[in-house]
Amino acid sequence: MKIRVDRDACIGAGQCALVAGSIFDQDDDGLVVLLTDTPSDEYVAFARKAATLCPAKAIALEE
Amino acid sequence: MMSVEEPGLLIVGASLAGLTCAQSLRAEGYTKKITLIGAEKHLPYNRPPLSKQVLSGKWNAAQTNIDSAEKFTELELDFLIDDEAIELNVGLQEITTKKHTLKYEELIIATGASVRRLPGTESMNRVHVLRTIDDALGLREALVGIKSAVVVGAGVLGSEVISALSEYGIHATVIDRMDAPQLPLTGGHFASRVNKFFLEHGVVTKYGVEIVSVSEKESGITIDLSDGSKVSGEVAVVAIGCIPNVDWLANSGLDISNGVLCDSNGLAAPHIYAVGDVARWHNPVTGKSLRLENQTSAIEQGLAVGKFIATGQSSAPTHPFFWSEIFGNKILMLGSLDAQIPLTIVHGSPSDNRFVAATIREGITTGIVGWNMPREFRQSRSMMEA
Ligand SMILES: Cc1cc2nc3c(=O)[nH]c(=O)nc-3n(C[C@H](O)[C@H](O)[C@H](O)COP(=O)(O)OP(=O)(O)OC[C@H]3O[C@@H](n4cnc5c(N)ncnc54)[C@H](O)[C@@H]3O)c2cc1C
Ligand code: SF4
Repeated sequence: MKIRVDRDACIGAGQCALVAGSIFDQDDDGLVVLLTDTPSDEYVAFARKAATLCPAKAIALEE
Repeated sequence: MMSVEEPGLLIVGASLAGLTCAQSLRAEGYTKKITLIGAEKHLPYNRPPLSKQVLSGKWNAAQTNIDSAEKFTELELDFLIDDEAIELNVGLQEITTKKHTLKYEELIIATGASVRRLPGTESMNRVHVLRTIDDALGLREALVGIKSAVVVGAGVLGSEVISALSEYGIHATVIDRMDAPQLPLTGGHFASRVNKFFLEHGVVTKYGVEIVSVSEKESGITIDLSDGSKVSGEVAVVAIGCIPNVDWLANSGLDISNGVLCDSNGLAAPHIYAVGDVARWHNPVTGKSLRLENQTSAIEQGLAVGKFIATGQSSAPTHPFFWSEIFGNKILMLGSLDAQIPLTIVHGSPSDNRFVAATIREGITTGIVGWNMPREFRQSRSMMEA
């Protein structure tokens, strides 16, 4: 799986970092920062959860 | 293969709540047929950017799409766009649309809300509303080259429109029957702060007034107010809230007073659920049944209903969340601030216009706001779990 984030869409809600802190972080402006764009298998479910919960729909997953 | 006779599950309303519910059903292992019906001609899109990135001209329409067409194929949905449900027959477990009659085993109502219009202005070309992508593109076009506009409603949407107008250098007048701007869930704590932004940007404010009449001429719109004054602008934007889309449920027997009343699992009646802006869920923690008109609630309700139908498991109630960007200020709000309680400043300082603040009632945090401090806001969210 490959993760893409759209920092123009991100509103800094931090849902992603709350549910998948090993994949997503926020910079000083609160905008999403990817720690990895290819999560290992055990983290794929967390990436999915983050993408669903992101209120700005700023996270896209390519399987 | 699924059998053709099996009616499966029907989702009415193809926007954020309905689509999230479909995703959740599949993620939780639901294998029966899912049919998604939407009245709009577009693939599901996000509304928040309409008043922000789209109105200000930074984004085109395609950038608001929630998912690509391939993602819908992966979900194995029967997706009927540009069709509208017009009647629900609970006894027959059947809905009638403009084009079809469809049976269901489970029904998800996700028809959202429509804008409230000013009576008498429905056919006026210079009076705009903002709910759909077409509204947003139409308004953006109408703003080209104009110098003045009237905004009716100083809520969060009106405030976002005013800040877009100011970016375009358009002079704005705002009218509201309340005596200050209102941001949802904030208990009025930031009314004077938002008003100050208006005044700093040269916005003329008319609070505590009712609209007596609206007239349209070739040159613009004139509105007569209850205090005897008149305001005018080349266009008017009406942002006075939304009405849940429940007309098609009028004969269903469901309780549709201010949205479809549901229990805390989203169940409105046996085999019938509602999610998103159209739904009024019971919250067992607060004891209240409220319609929550925001993205996060639409997502969380869609997820919860998908899981409940697929697995029988309930989800814990969550706190409402909204965000806004007004005159460049990034506002994040979780839970709700108590109007009666002074703010506790958790980080930063209000005088620097960067802070995280909360209201705490008898040791319990009722709400947290992040004002230009998203990182610290996220770190403070745990206060709500205490
Ligand atoms: C301009 C704007 C800015 C916003 N900004 C924010 C923000 O910053 N943050 C935030 O949290 N929220 C914001 N919101 C609110 C957020 O967009 C909504 O909460 C969210 O869209 C709700 O999703 P929904 O799926 O419940 O309803 P909707 O998005 O309203 O979708 C309902 C869908 O059902 C369709 N439909 C209706 N009736 C029928 C029928 N009879 N048959 C078939 N289909 C039907 C409609 O055409 C529509 O496509 C904003 C809304 C607007 C309009
Ligand atoms: S959840 Fe979405 S909006 Fe929030 S920080 Fe992450 S990417 Fe940005």
